[in-house]
Amino acid sequence: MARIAIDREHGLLTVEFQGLDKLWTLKSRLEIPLTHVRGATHDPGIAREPKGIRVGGTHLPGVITAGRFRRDGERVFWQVKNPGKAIVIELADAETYDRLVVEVDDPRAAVALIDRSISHS
Amino acid sequence: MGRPRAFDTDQAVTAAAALFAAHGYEGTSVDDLVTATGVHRGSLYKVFGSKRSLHLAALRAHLDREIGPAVAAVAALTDPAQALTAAIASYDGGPAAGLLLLAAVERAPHDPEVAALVTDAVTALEDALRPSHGEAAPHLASTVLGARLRLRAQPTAPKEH
Repeated sequence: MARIAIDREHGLLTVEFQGLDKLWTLKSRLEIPLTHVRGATHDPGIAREPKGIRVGGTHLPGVITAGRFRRDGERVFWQVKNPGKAIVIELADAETYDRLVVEVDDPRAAVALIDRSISHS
Repeated sequence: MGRPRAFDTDQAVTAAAALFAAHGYEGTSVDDLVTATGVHRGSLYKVFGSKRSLHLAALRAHLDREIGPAVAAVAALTDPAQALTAAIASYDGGPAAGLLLLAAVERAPHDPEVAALVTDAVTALEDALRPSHGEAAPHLASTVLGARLRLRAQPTAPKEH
């Protein structure tokens, strides 16, 4: 589970991982400038697609997908156990990742928070 | 980075518009959009950024391609009855008929950009009815919207989408 927050002072989207998820993803926190965030979408279906090649992290198919993956030349960061709560955050070219796919507690609220933050920045 | 874009953006937007018009925003999943557009999920995200952005692109295209020409045709009519009939027959019609009505009901309260597009489309309708109906144009615009809503609610053969 990832915790999504907006740091308005620094203009950042922060994605924090708690507990064991830090271990699976090899990350405790991602920070993305809001100007590099293109949008967010609730997308339970994405977990059924091939993930590509794991570059770092943990992949137990059907259990957990976490860490860095590469597919069709795109770099995607995954942290999903429950696909029903997966959101996709699309990033601009300048970022380390092209796309984040993370599980959040309330997908609707997380997507609304990100949309609001980028349309006012 | 990535593979070259191997799809027609306009075609994808047209297919998405028809889907959103048939099932609404929440009722249309990314899986549905991938199937209907024939575009890979990764490419959809790369080109449009999010489902919201694709919906906005679909709504803008609907305004340009359907609502704009329909409203221009109404504005050219000076006979009040003809203008009203033409507006009811054609406004928010076309392959994504009802997309504007649905967006107004479902998305405008949550999305300021959708709200602005809906306002533009309704204002255009009012302006188009002014040559035939003068001061009563805003009132008649509401009548057109109500008539379109009633048309949509009429039972018809189920549409495949």
